[in-house]
Amino acid sequence: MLIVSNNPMVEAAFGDSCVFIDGRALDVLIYVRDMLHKGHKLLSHPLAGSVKPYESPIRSVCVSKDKGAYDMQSILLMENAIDRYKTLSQRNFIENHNEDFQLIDLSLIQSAVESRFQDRDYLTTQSGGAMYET
Amino acid sequence: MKLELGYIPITDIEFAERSYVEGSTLYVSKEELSDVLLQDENISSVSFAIALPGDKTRITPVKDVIEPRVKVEGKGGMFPGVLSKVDIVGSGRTHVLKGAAVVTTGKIVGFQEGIIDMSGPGAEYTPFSKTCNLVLVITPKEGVVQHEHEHTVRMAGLRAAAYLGELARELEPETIETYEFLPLLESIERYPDLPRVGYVKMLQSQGLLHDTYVYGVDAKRTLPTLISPTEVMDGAIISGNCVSACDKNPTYVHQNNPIVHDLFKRHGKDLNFCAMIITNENVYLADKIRSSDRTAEICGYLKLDGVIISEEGFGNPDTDLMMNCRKISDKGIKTVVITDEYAGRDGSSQSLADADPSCDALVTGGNANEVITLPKMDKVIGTEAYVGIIAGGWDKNKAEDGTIQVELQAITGATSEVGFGYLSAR
Repeated sequence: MLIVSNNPMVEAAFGDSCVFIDGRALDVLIYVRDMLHKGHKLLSHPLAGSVKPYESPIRSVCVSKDKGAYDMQSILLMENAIDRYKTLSQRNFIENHNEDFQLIDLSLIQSAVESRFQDRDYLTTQSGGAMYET
Repeated sequence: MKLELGYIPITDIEFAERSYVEGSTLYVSKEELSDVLLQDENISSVSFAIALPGDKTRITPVKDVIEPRVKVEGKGGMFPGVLSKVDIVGSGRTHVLKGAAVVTTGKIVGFQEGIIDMSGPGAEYTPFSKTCNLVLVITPKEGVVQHEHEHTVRMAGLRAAAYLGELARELEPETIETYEFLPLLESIERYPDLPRVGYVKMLQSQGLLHDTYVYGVDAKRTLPTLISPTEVMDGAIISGNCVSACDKNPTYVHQNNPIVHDLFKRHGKDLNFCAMIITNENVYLADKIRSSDRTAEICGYLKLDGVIISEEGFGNPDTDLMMNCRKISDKGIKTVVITDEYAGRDGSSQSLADADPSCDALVTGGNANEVITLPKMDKVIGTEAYVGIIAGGWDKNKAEDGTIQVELQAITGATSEVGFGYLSAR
């Protein structure tokens, strides 16, 4: 599994499994959308949590490491998320709360990763739990 | 399962030397309650405030609201698996200090939200402007991290509610309501000609400030399951979530879910309320598929005729909502979903983040992006420091005269997705 993220806390927690995007939350979503078109599969919902997409500058999304068949459902979910992001008004984020946004984002993505851990094929085909522990 | 709720009406709260109820006044000893709460070693200090209907008072940021109740007969105690030992609740008798509420506040992260105005235009949008509120302001010890802080505030609220509820143990209720939830076969035998209706209650379960607990278990670690609605009335479900305050279910709302109460009112008349199913809303897509599959399987297995589905929160749970709706509809069961909308400030944008053709009957709790101006209040319990940065607030939203502009989503319970609010087209 790969985590595409602009969250430094996620990068620190997941190391090589994180594709760090030095940009806006929207840039993360667009990067993931492009991956989906190349055959990666969306694993976590692009609108994680109830911190509204336009209210947090931080976003992390889990996608499959392997490429497979083109997954229309993944792409529709992602396009919907990008549409929501662009439709609803943008805010100016207050820099000194960035850490709190990062923490909530990390917590949500950790809950996704913990779920992923329960998947048998992951445990047998990947190299154990090193990704989450690093 | 048969549960009697005995209501003791409360119309006032006052601080006193000792805690007791006399007439319809709840007297609270700060000292006694402090002793109960300070057992938690993460708490550095706790202070109390009273907010009554009509007061020029604002409470923010609100984390949870809890109704004080006590189990006087039957199995289990209040908040089983959390404060009391794990035991099935939902039968016997429970006494309720009706009209009283415990409200918790405290900064956990910097963009938190939840406004309760006790008077003025904001009061029209939150159901907790009509309750007599004992507010706990919890200050954690230095070094307590956010997850621990959330847990500490959550437990303090529950402990305070249980402590106050205990004062009602020996009191004679003014009114008693009885709710009986029959075993499925008995229910069908008794009402063979009435349509079998189930209620699917979705629980927010995504991570910090987004969690819900069932008998003490984090709902994200559960599969959908059947539960008696009387268990839910009796404290089996508690809230650990508060982000996007308008459409989260505080513990109080789990205890007083209007969908459950209304279904009971019509039970045996024009429908047979014979199933309640709780399911979760996780971040991981495979979890969403697994949970919605299981929910639909249970509905199909019970051969329900109709199902009401209520969502909690907004955004990715819209996907859970649509999966539930589609898969239950595919079983040949009629569905009605209850949600709220994020349709932009002018209401012209798409309301939900996901959609499905099977979702052809929908009730809305209102548009959470609607903008409202709140007047300056004489007293603020907690702090207004975050109002500008809460979800629903925005930069420079405080005018020189002290009025603030926020979206409805900042107001606790404003667009409740179980209908525990005042927004209506009527």
